[in-house]
Amino acid sequence: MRRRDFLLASMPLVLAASGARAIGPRSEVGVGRLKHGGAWDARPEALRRLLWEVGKRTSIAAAKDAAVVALDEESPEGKELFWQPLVVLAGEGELPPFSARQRARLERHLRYGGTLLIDAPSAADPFVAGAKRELAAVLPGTTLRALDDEHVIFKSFYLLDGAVGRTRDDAHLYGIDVAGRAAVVLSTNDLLGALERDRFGTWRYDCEPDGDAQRELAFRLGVNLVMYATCLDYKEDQVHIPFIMKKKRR
Amino acid sequence: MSPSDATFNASELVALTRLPGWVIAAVALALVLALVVGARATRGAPPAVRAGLLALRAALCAGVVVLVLEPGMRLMATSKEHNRVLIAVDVSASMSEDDDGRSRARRAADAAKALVDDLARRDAPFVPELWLFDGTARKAAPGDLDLLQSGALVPTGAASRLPAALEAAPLGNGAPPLGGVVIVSDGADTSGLSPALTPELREAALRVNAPVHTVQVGASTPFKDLALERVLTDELAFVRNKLTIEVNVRSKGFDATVPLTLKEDGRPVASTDVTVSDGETVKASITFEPQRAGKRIYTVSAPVLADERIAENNRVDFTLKLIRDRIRVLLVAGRPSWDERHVRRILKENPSVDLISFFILRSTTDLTNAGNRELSLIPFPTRELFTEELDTFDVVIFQDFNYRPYQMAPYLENVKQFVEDAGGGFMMIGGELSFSEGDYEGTPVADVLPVRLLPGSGHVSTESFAPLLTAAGASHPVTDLGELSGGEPQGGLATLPPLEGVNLVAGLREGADVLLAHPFLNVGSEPAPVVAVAEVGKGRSMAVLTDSTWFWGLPHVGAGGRGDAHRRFFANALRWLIRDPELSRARIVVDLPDATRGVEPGSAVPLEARTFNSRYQPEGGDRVVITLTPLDATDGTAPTILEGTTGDDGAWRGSFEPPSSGVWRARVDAKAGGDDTKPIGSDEDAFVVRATAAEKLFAEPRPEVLAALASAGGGRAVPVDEVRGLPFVDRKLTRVHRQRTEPLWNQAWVIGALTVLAGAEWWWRRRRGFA
Repeated sequence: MRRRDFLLASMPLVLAASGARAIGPRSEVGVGRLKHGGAWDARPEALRRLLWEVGKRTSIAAAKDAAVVALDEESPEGKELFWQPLVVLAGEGELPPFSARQRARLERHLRYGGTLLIDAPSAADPFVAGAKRELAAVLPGTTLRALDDEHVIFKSFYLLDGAVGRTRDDAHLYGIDVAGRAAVVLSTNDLLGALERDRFGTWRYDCEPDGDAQRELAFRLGVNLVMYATCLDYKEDQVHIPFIMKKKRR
Repeated sequence: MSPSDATFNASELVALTRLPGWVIAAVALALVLALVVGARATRGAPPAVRAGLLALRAALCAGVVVLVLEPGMRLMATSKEHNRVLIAVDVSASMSEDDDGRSRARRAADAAKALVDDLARRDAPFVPELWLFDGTARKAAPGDLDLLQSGALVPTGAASRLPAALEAAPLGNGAPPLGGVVIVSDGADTSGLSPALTPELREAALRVNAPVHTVQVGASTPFKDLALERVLTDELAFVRNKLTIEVNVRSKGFDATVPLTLKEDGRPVASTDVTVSDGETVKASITFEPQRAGKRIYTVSAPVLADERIAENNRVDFTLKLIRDRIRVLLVAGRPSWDERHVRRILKENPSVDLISFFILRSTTDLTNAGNRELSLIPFPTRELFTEELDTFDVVIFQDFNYRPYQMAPYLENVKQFVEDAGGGFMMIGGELSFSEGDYEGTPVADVLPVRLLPGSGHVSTESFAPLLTAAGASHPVTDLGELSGGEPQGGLATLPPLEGVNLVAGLREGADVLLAHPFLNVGSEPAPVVAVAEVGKGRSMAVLTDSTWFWGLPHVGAGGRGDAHRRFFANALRWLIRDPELSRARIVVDLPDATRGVEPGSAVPLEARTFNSRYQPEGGDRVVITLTPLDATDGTAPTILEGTTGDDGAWRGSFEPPSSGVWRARVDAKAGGDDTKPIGSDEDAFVVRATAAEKLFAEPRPEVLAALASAGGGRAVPVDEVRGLPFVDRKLTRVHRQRTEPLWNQAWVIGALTVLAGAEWWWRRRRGFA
């Protein structure tokens, strides 16, 4: 209860700080939550929490909440799609197929600079198969490959050893390169599940097997993903390499 | 026939009828039927009678034929057509060379006269037609050959083009028949013609459709010379990239290994050795790495060998436009953002940009929940960047960056000097940490911005707006957004998503231009600037007073656009900031017919200087100072300075006669309206003045070229004293000078004869009972 009071008391300060860090709401770094025909909203609070953490931990002027986006053209969510360079496709269970026009819009988004983060509860969840089916249709001829441990996502802000989420069944992230950058990143450890909590500040899911330490790593991965979306391969610039190598050797 | 018919020497029978063909055919058919009917009707008659009746009818039909065809006699006065033999004599300056006691020109005249004499003695009708050629061809005046033979006419042509001799001959319909062409020359072609000739020359030789003979004048045996003929390289090259040039080295009389030296603006930069053999041309390669951008003059030279006939052709000059391969850009961003992300992506994907970027990923108030070792952060090397490395950059960009937390105040003066003194480009991009919000007011950086800053903070507007293209922006290269701008109101800006948020300022720096303005926010009585540019000392600066130009990228794609306006905007901005020569507001052009070969000694060099105002429109009334500097003058030639004022078309035109040979640099410095305090730009070009005329450099007789030309034209290559007996083609054409046609059918006796024939045939048939 004391924690809740503290959070409520500190909220105005946080909002004020956040609101003063960009000239115009569109200049804040936000995330698009992709609305689709399946269970798209199973982790409704996770991205809000991630953005709050990004704003707290980094110099990024983060938006207060994620924006709902869609692949159709007519709806307000559909019009919002291209205003969100980072879009998260999350869900569990079956992912109904996208229409041809929806696939074309998603392809256009990715080819012109957008980034898609796909988060699944587990590798065995049918959502993964559905997501892979859609990726094959959206970006034909590309391959979803495991990102190696040295990929810039694992060092864009925090130095990380691998992927985690609510689970840590698979230490890999998977990605598809478009024009030299990972335009699609797939996590199968329920990353959003680790970030999800209710409005009272209670974590909705336990992280297994390492509890809150694992949750912290999940947040760090989330921060790194947002940082990658905004800075791209900045941490692979030659000037950073000796510093990062030195830290990793320690 | 009249008495004058005696002058006609030929005649022919012709039909004068004007009846159409089908009428004649119908008449012919009717006559055939009449003959058949006549033959059938006289069956059973005694053979003699039948033969007589048929003969009469045939004679009657013949008479009808005469009536229809209207025969006539054409009387003609004719003569046999003579065949022209075109004799083209080379009168270029090299023909004044004296190889063995008598100049080549006089020998050529001897040969031409001998040929004329030979033609006159032949039975076949050949008529000589004399032409003179050097760079072009012209018909010889009467007496030219005599003048040439006596030495009174000295060849002075500044060039030799063997193709000109072939171009002299009028061919085709109406032209008198051509029996052949004889080219009398030393073969010292100055257009670089090799024995391989050119496809065009081969075609021209075939098009003549008559033998093309060549007469070799001049002795080549005692000629010893090493010549650097021409350099093969691109007109453009990149600095700091290896570049290989090739030079053709021709040897006559030498078998040796020769050192070649390459100089850039008079300074040696590379050398190589080349082995040459007598009578051969070899290709030598020299590789070097140019270091400085701009138009540079290069010289390849070889030492003068013993007994060499021509020393001047041991050197060849050429110009090369060197462009920087990559623009070094320092991007400092105060925080990661979508605007930063789009700018970084644009710069990283631009192959001409070498990007060094520093982003502030964490501020002092951020709580990372991690130790420093768990973070990939590195120190921001402000001292190294803004002291030691600053001059290595072409452009510095501060994007939504506040300098204060990084103790950078001591280095801001360096940024100012980087722009004002070193000619660097500086861009500030807006945001909550930029301009007044970044506390730059009153700092040295504020001195180089195109805008004047407001003191304190809080000078931002977060409203959405569609920027307006100003008059300056409509013609400025930075806001040339390609097809987007074409023919649409406001240059197509209205098709882009509206921007959001702008940094407010106190006004414009003097001389600055606003390219994009705010539609409803004002500074004083003027619209608030959104994008502004300024010339600052030797450098340039640009202010982008919003952090939302990224809306022209991905969001524009979402609205159905191409999304390249953002990329183009920043690419243009970089080119303008680095003073890309293509975007200079003062230009000088030295327009030479053949820049690679340079200017002939004594020739005037045409100069044109152009100026543009800050809106990149031609500007009249600007003062231009053109400085012409000899770069390798050994005789102490001083620079020449020409001054003028641009006309209404923004151009000043003049010419310059270089007092000495060698390489020259032409530089224009322009000042707006002649005000010395308002320099508007400068530009440089370069040219070479040859020490010796090309005719002297390429004076060596070249029988192999003449032989190749004769072979291509189906003729013979003969020495100068063996011109008699050359074969030519007699076209055997006859020319009709006068003609008259006399009708034969409208004589009284013809009509009478026909009447008698018809009556006789009718009477005989009736008597025999066949009518």
